[in-house]
Amino acid sequence: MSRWFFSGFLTAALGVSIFSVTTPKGIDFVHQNSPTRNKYLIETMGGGVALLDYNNDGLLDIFLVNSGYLQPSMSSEDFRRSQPKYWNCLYRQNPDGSFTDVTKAAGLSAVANSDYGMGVAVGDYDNDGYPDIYVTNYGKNILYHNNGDGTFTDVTEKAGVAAGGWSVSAGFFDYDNDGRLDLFVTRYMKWDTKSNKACGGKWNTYCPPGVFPATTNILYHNNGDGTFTDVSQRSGIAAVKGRSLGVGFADYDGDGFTDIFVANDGMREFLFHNNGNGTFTERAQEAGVALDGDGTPYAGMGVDFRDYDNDGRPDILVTNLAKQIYALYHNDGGGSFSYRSLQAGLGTLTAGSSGWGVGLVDFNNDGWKDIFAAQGHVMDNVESIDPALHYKQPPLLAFNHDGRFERADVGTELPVAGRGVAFGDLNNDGKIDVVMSVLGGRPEVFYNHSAGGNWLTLTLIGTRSNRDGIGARVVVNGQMQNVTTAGSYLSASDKRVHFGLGEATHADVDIYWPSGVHQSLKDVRGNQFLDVREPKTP
Amino acid sequence: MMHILLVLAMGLQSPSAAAIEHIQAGVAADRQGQHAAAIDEFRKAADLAPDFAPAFIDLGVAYMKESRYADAVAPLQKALTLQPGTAEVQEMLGYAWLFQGYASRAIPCFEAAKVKGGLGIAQVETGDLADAIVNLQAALRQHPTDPDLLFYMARAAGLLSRQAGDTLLADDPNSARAHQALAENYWALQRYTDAENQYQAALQISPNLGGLHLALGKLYARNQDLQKAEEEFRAEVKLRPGSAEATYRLGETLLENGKINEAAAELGRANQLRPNMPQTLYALGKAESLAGNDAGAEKAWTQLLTVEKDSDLAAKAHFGLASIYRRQGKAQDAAREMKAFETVNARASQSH
Repeated sequence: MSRWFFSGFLTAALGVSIFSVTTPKGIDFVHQNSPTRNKYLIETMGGGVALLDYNNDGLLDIFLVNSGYLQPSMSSEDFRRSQPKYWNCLYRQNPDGSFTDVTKAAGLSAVANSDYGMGVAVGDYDNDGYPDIYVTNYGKNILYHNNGDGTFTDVTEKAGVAAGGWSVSAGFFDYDNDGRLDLFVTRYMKWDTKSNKACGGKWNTYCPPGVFPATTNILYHNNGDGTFTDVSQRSGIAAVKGRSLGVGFADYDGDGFTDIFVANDGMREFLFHNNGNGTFTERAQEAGVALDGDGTPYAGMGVDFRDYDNDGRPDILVTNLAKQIYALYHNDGGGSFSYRSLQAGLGTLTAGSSGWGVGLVDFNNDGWKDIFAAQGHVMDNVESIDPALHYKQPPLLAFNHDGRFERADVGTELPVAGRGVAFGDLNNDGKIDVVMSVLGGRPEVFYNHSAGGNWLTLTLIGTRSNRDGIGARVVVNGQMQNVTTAGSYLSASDKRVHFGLGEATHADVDIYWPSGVHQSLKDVRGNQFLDVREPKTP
Repeated sequence: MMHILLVLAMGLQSPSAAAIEHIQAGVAADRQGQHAAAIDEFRKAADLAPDFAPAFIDLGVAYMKESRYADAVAPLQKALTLQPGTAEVQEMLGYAWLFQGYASRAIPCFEAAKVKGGLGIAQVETGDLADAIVNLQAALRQHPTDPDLLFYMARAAGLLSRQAGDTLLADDPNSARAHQALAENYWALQRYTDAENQYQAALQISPNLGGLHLALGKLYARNQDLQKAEEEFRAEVKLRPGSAEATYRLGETLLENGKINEAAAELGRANQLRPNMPQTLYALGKAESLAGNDAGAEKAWTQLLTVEKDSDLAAKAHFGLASIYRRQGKAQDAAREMKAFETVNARASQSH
């Protein structure tokens, strides 16, 4: 028995968590959602979190999206975002692991008072080597260009990506493989503070999504000159209306073009197949991912689009409300999925939970992707209606044992209203950490000190493809990941690609770049961060 | 009209021509819905022919139509004095008393008329619940959708149940059954923790009492605590292996807990214990499908569709069939089943 296996076994047997949960020094952010008796729907939906190395110093920084001020009767939509307590915040990580609030210095404090904050996407849309930030709002969205000197500039107007309405999650990806990151934005519904209403009679609850009209999602094509074009209509994305929350990207059918999965709340889910010619076809039903295993729609929230069973094909995990079961769709190949929640153990794990941000991530470096999910019910008074349900819940950590998930100690029993989750190696120890945003509360940071196996973390540097290799298909010792910062809910994760190697000390790496270049690296040493530059020629 | 039938049937002595004229005028007024005028005419006829029972019957009926139940009593009683044993008049008099709240006076009238429904209703009012249920059941066999009968049947059963429960709790409050009864009351009140405590108390007193583990299992399942639910259903099935419900619940919970093969076995057994239950067939098909036994799934779901065609479960069965056909690459079959799923689903949703 190997030392690794033995120590991993001991950790599990003793019930010791791999995480220590804390709010690091320097992070004083408190999310402000301003709940009211009017039960404005936006109150319960924010806010996002991003892990990015904005200054390229090798340390991940944290960006947190704030929401805003609400009052029982909104005569005008002034969310008081100019007040510091309602600002989004960027925290720069210092070499000692503490953080410094650099929001104002970075030029990120200015947000229009009419924007109630939701989520964040991260991507280097101009390929200058510095990650840019896109913030979604109820109101107008904001694109911040990273100037490379520690500051950002609001380029929304020039870029033409303000959207409008109620945007939720967003993600950068290159749908046409032209080497430039495009942008997808989910929108929840047609709603405003004036059309809001409360439901539930004497219980006075947030209304279910079906009370309000569905709306379209938005796809922006990157023109390469700092501007984007809204191609929602001509791409086919706007052909269907949804009540969309989470979004994930992966090439599910191996045709070399990135597809889109959108989690919808209270209606069938969307799977936009990329036709490779600038258009998409919504094929969730044909693919078997529109509904749960009983043919029933559910409250789709967060999503991750990754290969959980190491068969080389990306699967789909969707969080939803209590009394439903997180939906896990296994990619069977041939463009078809099968519902595998029960076989994977998610019935036991999630029937009583309401999930939001989620990730399939190998936390213990055993070569299998585990689950972490932020949890908590939508309704802040749900216990009054059904004592079995909970507004605040601890997050879920479940280890993957050959495709079946089993609950693990997440390191905290403190129930919170978890929402966004971002994943990344904060302290560069080869183990993936987690930052979870908390509705109306302080974010929680889960430092991973797993005694697990070997690992390999790759930073892709595109030359023909987009600068960060977003969308590349990376295969390491048989494990596969599509490179992405998107997924989860309202959040953006570290762009680096992490693989647990288990007992293997070396790895064979195959990278299928969006440009079509296939790059093969043999016998790569484990336990290292490796930059991989895309060859200029195939 | 009752009065014409009665006159013919009774073959009574002829009243005066004037009385007959008033009766005819009353009948005409009654036909035009002029009940007050009819009452006036029937009263005059009764005054002119004080020994002519039909005049009093007509008067009583007219009062009843006007909801003047107190006024109806005297003419109906007079009619019975003149012509005892007339069942229809007894029934009418019974309702006249009952509608005024004199249930005990109504009972002999209904008994004499052999009217089970009225008798049952009156007995509910007087608290004679056991006899009421017998009579209401008899009446419901003749009129199975009568809302009054159904209402009083439900009320009688509920009151009887409560009486039995109260007696149980008063006479033997520390018995397992008393705790079980309390648990069920708490459950109805959505006090689930109290219900759980009472079931557990019952189990401590009587560990082998059937139904307790089943109820606890349902409680845990309701609270989404599926592992504890599985434990309780297992215990119930061990105690009562012939219980189709316990076996079905165990199978369903095993399925949700991802123990697919064991779930399929239990659900198969549940289907043998009580064949063709749609819920069991659906869950069995699901278990077989998840276990990779497409033939078994197809068999269960196809069987379900012979039992139910337009229900939620039927829609789900079509969805399941579409899934296995898609997995098998049978695109046409999958499309057909998806179309059936959508059609049945829409119909089932509308009927909700």
